[in-house]
Amino acid sequence: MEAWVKGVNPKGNSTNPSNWDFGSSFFFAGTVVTTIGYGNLAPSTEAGQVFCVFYALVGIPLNVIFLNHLGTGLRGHLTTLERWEDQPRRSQVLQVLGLALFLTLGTLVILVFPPMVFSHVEGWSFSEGFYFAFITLSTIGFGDYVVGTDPSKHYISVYRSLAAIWILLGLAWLALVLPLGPLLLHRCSQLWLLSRGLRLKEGGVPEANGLPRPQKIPTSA
Amino acid sequence: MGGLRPWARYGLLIVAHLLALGLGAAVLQALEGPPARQLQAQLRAELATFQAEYGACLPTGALEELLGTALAAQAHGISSLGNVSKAGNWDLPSALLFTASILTTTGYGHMAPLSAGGKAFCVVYAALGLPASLALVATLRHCLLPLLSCPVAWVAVRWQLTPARAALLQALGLGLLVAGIFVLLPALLLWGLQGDDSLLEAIYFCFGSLSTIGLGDLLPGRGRDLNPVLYHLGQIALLGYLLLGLLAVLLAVETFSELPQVRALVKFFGSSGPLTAEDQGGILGQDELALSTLPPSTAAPEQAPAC
Repeated sequence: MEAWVKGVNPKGNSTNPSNWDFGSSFFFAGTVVTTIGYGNLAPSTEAGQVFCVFYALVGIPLNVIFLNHLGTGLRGHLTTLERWEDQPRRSQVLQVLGLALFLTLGTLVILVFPPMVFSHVEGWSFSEGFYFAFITLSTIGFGDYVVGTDPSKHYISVYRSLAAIWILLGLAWLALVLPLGPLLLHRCSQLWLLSRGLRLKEGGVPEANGLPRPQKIPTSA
Repeated sequence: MGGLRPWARYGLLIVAHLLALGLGAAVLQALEGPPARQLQAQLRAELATFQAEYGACLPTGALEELLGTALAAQAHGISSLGNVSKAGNWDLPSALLFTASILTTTGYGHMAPLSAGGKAFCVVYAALGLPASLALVATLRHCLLPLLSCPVAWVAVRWQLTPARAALLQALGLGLLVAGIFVLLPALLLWGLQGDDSLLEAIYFCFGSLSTIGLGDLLPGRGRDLNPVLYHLGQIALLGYLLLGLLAVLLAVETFSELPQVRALVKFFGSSGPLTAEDQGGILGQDELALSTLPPSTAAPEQAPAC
């Protein structure tokens, strides 16, 4: 009976032939530095746990800087924040539309297609795949659904590494998009106000360099 | 190194990131691979002896099927070990701990929603609750940070330190204080209460919780029959610890990220010009490093009202 108890011990229960091969370890390292932390795989030796702590102390800041700069760099290229108000109406509308299109496409690519792929490979329903994607990208990471851990399936060797790369890209995407969403709404509301011939409010305009801008001359109705 | 172009610097950061991941993976593989294989071999041997002794009574494959079911349930947080004296998985304190683990993005995973409605609710709850808790944290940060700099200002005047030195002192002092109160002390407490875990494991658990990694492999009170009242008290205590500790860690990290040395390091890897006001907040703000709020002193506070 003791063997039975040990058999269902969560620490050693996976019958997957290679628990800590390089791909799985890479995936685990990724979940540590992104603070997702599924928990289906965890270091059981003391040395591993100590290493985990120090690795996280260094890796989490590095990851945050990495994602932060990715978001900043891409955002700077996407939204030409300077002098948006001075551009002709058509180009303003085009910019807003382009931004919305970019956001939608990106959401599809990050949040819709990968869950479809995961659902197909893992045998989940699409809603379970989406639930997995959401819980992963919000870095909550329960661990009840994890890709690449079903012992009865045979995965290609780069599957888990590809999943880790998807996680990093998805997080970078979120870092890029989450501030852009409110900006897009703001621009839309400004466009609506402008189309009604109302003035732009002073100080209500997002700045590229943090300096306040002078109030605009009202456009005639 | 300052002569590198911005894109080259950013490429350096990407390469460094991938190398760090690969290095961590290699070390963990070396550390954990052999013990895991050993445990697996042991497990297989035990299964073999079990089959040899009792296999005549069992239909073929029945044992594997039962194990598979039990392990699948374990993945969703349902323990298959009998006679657990706690009332149920989803009583109020457990559910509270679960929602706290969502809002802090820790996500231990010892409990997870099974029904489709529960999962959908989780998604919606997180989508709404995470920005709300971010806003709350930003407000608290705004109120508490000036309070923290008062004693340091007093010390700086007494010892006549330069502002740079005073900032360094504040960051180091706060970091040590948070590490001491919120990692070392709870770890000592846990170690004293649970005899069979080592102090290292307790520190590892505390660190994993506060960094919101939340592996959940070492939750206190697991696998033992505790008095239900004690167990619930422990859960409420863990809940309070998560919330307070995370706030303290965020404050400490904010203080660190305002140091000129740290800012210079971050700017070194930057690929674009000055940061815009939109760089505040976002999903990265909820990590303990609020580096996305650089520079906090010049950007307008977005949603934090004055206290």
